[in-house]
Amino acid sequence: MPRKKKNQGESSKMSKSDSLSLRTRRRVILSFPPSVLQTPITYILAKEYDIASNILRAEILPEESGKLVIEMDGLPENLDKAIQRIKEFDIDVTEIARKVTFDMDKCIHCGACVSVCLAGALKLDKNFHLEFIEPKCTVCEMCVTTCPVDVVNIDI
Amino acid sequence: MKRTIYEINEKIKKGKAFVLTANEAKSLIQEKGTKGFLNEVDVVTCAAFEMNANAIAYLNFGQTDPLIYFSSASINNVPAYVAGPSDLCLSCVAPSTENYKYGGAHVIEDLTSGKNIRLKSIGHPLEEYTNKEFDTWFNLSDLNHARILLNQGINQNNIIACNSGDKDINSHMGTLIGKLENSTFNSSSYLNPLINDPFCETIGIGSKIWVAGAEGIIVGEGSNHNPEQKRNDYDIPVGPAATLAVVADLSDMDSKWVRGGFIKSFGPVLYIGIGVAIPVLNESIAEKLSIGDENIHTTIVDFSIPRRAKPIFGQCTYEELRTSTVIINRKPTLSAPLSSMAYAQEICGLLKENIMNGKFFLTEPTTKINLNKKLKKMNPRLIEKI
Repeated sequence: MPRKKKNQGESSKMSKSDSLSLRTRRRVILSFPPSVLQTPITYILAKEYDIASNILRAEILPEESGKLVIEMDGLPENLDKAIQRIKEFDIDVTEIARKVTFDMDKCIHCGACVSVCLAGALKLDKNFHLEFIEPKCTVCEMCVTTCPVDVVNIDI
Repeated sequence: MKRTIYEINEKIKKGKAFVLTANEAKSLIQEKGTKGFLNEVDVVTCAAFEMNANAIAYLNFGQTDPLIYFSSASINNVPAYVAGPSDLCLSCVAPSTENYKYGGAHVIEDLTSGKNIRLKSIGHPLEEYTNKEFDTWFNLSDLNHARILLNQGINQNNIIACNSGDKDINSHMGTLIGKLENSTFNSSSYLNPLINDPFCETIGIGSKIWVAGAEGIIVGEGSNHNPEQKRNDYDIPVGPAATLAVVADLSDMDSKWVRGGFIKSFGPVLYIGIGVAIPVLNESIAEKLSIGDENIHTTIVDFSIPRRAKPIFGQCTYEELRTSTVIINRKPTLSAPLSSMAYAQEICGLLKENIMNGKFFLTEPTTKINLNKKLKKMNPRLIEKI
């Protein structure tokens, strides 16, 4: 389930500007050369970086190169470190960029999406029009299900 | 100084009426005081673009050949209720049998935008009405008439919803994230007609209002009318209070202001624009018009318990809510609206233009709104009382 929660423990002490400490999800394609097929990638991700990985597709044949499509769920800084670590194993990493797009012609500027955007990427400006600050977006997809008039879409 | 609605209408005819939107009125009152304001301004326009769940559309179809007496019917797969041989009632909240995210509200949106939609009907096998089945595409211009009853068309104030539980809740007030992470409110506060006229002095049964570009008429108290709600020092109710029922003709509506929506775990809802012109008749009305967001309070309600009586976290003003952070239970919480202020402001401007161009006149209400009614609760009764 798409979920965006603050890290456990200190949640009450954190201020809203601490948006970097929110869990986000990132999809990547890992291409394994034959030499590293035995590396337990998902174990390393979970154990060292506290990343929950969801395997979406796997094509690994013994003694051949393999392909793994996973969705990693963790803190942004851990995700960056983990991807760096995977690259050190000679594994080719391609990120699948997902983007939230708004159909502004159909938007009624009600603010329902603003209420669930804990990352602070959605705001109402002075004239109460919806403003999308894309760099802050963590693609948690909460706004997609909340929008009553169905103007939020996910581009893969 | 005092003026009457008749005098204002004469001024509108001559194109001399001084009209302001609620937004402009607040700043002018601050500048000139209520007396100066009363001398200059004739009419103030208020608006709301809020979610409606209590609405039905009444559609009158022309007769078929041979004649039909509907026994069951659906429009775009949304079941409609039979209200006569060739009349149908369509509830805004009725979901389609094919797509649960599409409902009566979307059919109304499609109708006003002139789209072709599909009627599937089955007729009673009667001696005079022999048509047993009728399937057709139609649009708004094919109907004799189509009108809408918004039984809670205008709301006076509303609550703030939040959730102190662990789990997220999808409610009629949007998605409420657990542990007080967010809160939602659903009112156009200082632009709302009933906040600008808290005792319904100028608005009553028979008042003409603007409904999505068409002319609507207030027909009485609406669903969940609760005028005995507690009021703050400025006479503004601190929670859901008076509501008004409105009837309007669908055929004159602009589809921009009629939108079908879907709320997760609630169902289809209708967003519709409402505009009300308040005549500045005397000083007490001018005084009420001066109330801004900082003096409008609302109640914070915890949705974590799905019961009729919910815990309350106190009150706060709309000024705090509009800063997008509100303190609930000593925790800073994200707050966001569910009603469109951008559209409400646009409607205020449109109505102002209509009045200045002599297209919209004010009407004297025929009957006052009853403000001494108690909101009832429904409890089970196991035996029939004699």
